[in-house]
Amino acid sequence: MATPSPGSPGPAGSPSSEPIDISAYLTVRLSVVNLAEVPVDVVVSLVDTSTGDVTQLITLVLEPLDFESQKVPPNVFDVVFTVRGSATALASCRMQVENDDSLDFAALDDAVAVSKRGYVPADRSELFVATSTLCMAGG
Amino acid sequence: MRFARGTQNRAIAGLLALVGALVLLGCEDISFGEVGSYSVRVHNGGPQAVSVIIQLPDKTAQRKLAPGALADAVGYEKGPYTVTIILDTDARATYVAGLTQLRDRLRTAQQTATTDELRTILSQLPLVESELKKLQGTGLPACTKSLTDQKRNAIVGLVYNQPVAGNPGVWIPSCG
Repeated sequence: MATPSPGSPGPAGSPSSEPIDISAYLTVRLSVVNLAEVPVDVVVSLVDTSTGDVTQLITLVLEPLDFESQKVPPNVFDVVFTVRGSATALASCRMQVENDDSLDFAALDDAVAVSKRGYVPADRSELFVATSTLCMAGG
Repeated sequence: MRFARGTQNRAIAGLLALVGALVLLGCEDISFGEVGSYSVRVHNGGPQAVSVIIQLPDKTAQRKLAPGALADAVGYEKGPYTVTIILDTDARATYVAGLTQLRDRLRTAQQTATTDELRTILSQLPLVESELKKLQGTGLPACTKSLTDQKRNAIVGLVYNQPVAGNPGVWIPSCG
């Protein structure tokens, strides 16, 4: 099957039709602010926990102080932060998000903070991706 | 209108992922290609860096663009979009100061933080977006249009007219 490009009217050989309106499924809000002194790239992927398949959803290229928020469907997500040019990830988080969840990430030079609205952590280990239980979906 | 290959690949990956998510949600009958994406590309054609806020129905993106740089915002919900130029005003300085304060608090929290301090930090993280919305209100509206099924991709060009004879320089947008 031909791969449609963004903006193409529909699958090859089919009549043009309006795309499905998926806005009703975009019930989760993810936001990222880059508070590091260096550019940070962020890749958000959907995880199929039954097969282990990981499908890239969003790639963000954030200069210092850049911000982005995006609505996404509820699912299990991998969120991977990499300082641009680095071979290793600054931090990564696998999280289960549900309808109406709102997640906020803040990248620092050596760590990434995470918070979920309505979630009050007991200690500071919960504040950072490397140790937060928010980032331990799927073991 | 066609975007650079990298942008296409990212958007296609996004479409694939969303189709997968919809299947997981029980919409097994949909087929690839029926989910639309909607994008705004901003190009800084000026000689100096510029900060912009790109607002789509399902996305808010704030980007600082070097001269000649591009920013792409890809969403999955059609509707109105805006591009706002953020000038070097007191409002921007206040916004940046707030981010710097948050960064300092987070750095300190890596070493030590009381429960009260944690709560303060956690209450500040979601405020970044609301403060950005306030900053957006002080910016220079460059484009306000709609992304539709007939017009899924938009390109916004920014050029800068240099100060002349005491008149300040000005950003000139073109909204395609």
